[in-house]
Amino acid sequence: KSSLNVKAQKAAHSKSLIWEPRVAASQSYQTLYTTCHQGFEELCQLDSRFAHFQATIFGEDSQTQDRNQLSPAENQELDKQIDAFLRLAGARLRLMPAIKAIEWLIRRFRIHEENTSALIKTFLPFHSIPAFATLLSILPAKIPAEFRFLDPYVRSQTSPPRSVLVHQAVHHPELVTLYSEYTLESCRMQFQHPALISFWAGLLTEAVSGILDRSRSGRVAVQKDNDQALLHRLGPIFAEALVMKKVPALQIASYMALAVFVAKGNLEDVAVTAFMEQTVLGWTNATVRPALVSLVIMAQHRSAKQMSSKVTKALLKISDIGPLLVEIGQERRVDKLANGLCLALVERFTKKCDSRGLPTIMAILESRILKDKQIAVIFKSLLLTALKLDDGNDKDGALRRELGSALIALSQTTGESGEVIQSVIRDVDFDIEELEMKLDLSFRSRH
Amino acid sequence: DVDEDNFPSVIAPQHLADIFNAAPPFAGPSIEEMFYKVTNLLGAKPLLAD
Repeated sequence: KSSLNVKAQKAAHSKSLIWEPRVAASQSYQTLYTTCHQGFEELCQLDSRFAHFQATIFGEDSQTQDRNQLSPAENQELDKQIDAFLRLAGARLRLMPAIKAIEWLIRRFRIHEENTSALIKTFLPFHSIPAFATLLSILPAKIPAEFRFLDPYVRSQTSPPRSVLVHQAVHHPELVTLYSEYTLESCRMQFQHPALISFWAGLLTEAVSGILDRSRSGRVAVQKDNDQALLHRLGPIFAEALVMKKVPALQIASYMALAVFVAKGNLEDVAVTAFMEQTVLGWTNATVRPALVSLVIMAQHRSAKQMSSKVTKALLKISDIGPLLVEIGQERRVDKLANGLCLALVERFTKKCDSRGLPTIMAILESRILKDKQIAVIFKSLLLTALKLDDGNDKDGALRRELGSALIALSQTTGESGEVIQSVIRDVDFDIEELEMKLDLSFRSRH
Repeated sequence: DVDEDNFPSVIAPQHLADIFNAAPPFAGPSIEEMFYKVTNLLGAKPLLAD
């Protein structure tokens, strides 16, 4: 029996990312440590955050550390160290030093058996490289349930194509949740790397699109349930990713997946508004342009017209929001966001005596990013606002002067927008002369 | 006031897959470039083009 044990031990010891089983089986921990620690030292030179692990999983003492001799608490602490190290090493997986360092953890702490899930998650963004197939070849016969779909690739020791991962994510959205949680945790620890975020972003975006396509093929009632389930699954993920200001790439990745979700998802207004508000809550100088594009897309799929006060306030803080929307409007429809913003800004004029929005309204009205009907409504409400102003709500007349000169400038707009504005001036059924008197300005006489 | 524009977008799955399959995540374009590639599949043409 003891010879069987020795055989089993040898077989276990022969699992390696680097060496042939026969070579690996004969290696002592001392030899391994020397080689693998070299890799670890090189990692430390690349990123000083690795140095932290010298005190634990890469210390001299680690050579004699046997999981079987450790208490459950000690094993738990070991797992924590391994998990953190793997997350940090993820950025360097295509470099030999990282493979050498991970080799140590495989040989000494059997992380391919004890931390299989963490190890697969670390390697998943690199599923197409040979190292991934090698990893699969040393995994235990029974891998964690969430990755059992990789079994055919474990058996054939080949790299799974991306389509297999996407297919799994579409048909088993638990994978989306699992990998999102993994990515978010790496970001919380500031251990994220570009390949991880790109991989997650692509998986999430394609999964969202695929899940929605699948749900569309069912009955309407079932569709609604499925959409609601997807919203519950993704809502918390987006909520955290959208406001993670320290990781702009993660924010941009979530704008991408969210744009697809809202554009295809037929979501209720309350959900779309919440996503829009989370977007503006989290954006920074580094992310504001893609965030704005995402906001524009979401607004196109919202039925309420006026922007919410949170979104309006955030947009007002962008100094050149009007010209920026006009610029984005050269490439895509932006009318719902632009229109909704103008309506909210007009309302702020009367409700808060806040005229800061006027330049934005003018930039938008003078451009061709709105529909004629939207231009007409906004211009008409500006006229109505002018009528409502008097000494009571505009003591020194400053608002009336500002609005008056804005109306004059707009009435002089040329081109198609100008024609719409002219027709509103002709069609309004309130007294233009009274307005002129109130504003003490005449814009009709100029035409 | 019925909103005639408010209908879900359609994206051909292949178009989305093409963007992400073009390069592995460790060698692809920046996430911002990916963002613009994906959002270019979404949303209607600008009103100016009408």
